[in-house]
Amino acid sequence: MSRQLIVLIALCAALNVALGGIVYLIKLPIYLDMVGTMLCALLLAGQCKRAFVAAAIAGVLSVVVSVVFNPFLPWFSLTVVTIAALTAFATSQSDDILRTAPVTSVSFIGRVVGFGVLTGIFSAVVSAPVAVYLFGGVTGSGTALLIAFFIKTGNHLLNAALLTGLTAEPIDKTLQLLLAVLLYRATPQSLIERFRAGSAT
Amino acid sequence: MTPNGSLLFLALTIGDLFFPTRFTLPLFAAAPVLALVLSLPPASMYRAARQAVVITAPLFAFLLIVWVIVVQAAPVSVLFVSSQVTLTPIGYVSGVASRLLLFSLLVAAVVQRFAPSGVVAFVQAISLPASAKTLVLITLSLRHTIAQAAQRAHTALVAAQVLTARASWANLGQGWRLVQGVWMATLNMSLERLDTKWQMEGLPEGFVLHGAVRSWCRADLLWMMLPALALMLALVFG
Repeated sequence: MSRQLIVLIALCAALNVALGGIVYLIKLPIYLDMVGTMLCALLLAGQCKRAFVAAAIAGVLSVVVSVVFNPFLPWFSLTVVTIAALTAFATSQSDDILRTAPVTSVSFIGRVVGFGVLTGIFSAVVSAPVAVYLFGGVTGSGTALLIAFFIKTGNHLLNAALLTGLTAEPIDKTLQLLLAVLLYRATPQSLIERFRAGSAT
Repeated sequence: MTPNGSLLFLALTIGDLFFPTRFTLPLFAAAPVLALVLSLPPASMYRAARQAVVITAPLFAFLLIVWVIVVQAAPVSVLFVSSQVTLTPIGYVSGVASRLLLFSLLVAAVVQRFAPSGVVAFVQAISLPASAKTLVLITLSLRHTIAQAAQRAHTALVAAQVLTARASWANLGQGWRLVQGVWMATLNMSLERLDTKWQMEGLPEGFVLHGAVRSWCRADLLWMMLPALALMLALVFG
């Protein structure tokens, strides 16, 4: 693994961890724990497998490092890997539009929303069994009330957890993807090429 | 116990905690966790217990609200209880919550056990490839760099009235500027370190390889026997 790639993965993992603190600073009611993972895949767009491996390592590393503050995060490592895979193999295929199209254009908004919702759906599907079998369906956020509602309306626990995830995750992942894309657009091309060259060696 | 021993102990005890038995509470798996907690000095023991309670308390509250107050029944599929057992809502909640509490306590106790020597010494001592250890150490270092950059950028953006100190719509619309500023600052700083400082000082690989410590010790084996014994008891009586 080249030093450039090690630094890129570490930067993205650290960004995942530190964004929690930034969210606390600006007091926003959202989680931004996967922005670094998505950004890592976008920065290595064009090298799908390498982008996936690097993004997955960055994501898993961030949940492992966060274990001191939240020991439950590593249980969702498979969700992290899924997000890395989707961003590397699907979202980053629209690399050109995400980087150069005007932010207000239909093609840009359509892709961010489309891939964000898709990532949210996959994320919900992969997270639901963990939320059900390990946490009894409740993962300690306001979505607990949603799960109670879905169970009361006659759904099986796994279905209720899935429906809860499908309600909350697409919005969360779309916002996270938007932020990752904005950071990607702000990164100078010379630095991106440096990382891509580093990952190819 | 060595860092390698503690990670293996952690893995085996987590296996015990979620091993299905006919008991609602994790009776056997509690023993290795409590043994580790009791081996800590009183101040560390208190910190580990407090951290575990703080992390688990909201989960317990939500579990109570959902299963005991709203749904008033326990679900059928539960990973850690054998399928013949029928659970009451309170039994279900206590089973889930006690496992999560013991799990948090276990992680917090391992963290407290190695807290005096520090995280860098811990990472140096674990048996991983040098590149993996380098990655972990750079991540930990950059996490602090990003946090400090965020504090500085936040102060500047609040002073410039782009962001507000309290929750506001402006923060929702302009918050990405803070993240962007922090990202660019950290990105440039890390590449600068990579090109100059780290090369001159032989960091971080040299630092990772420098820490020559014992990989395993005899006490590891004794610690490992506790979760192994708990698993045997669960197999026989559970």
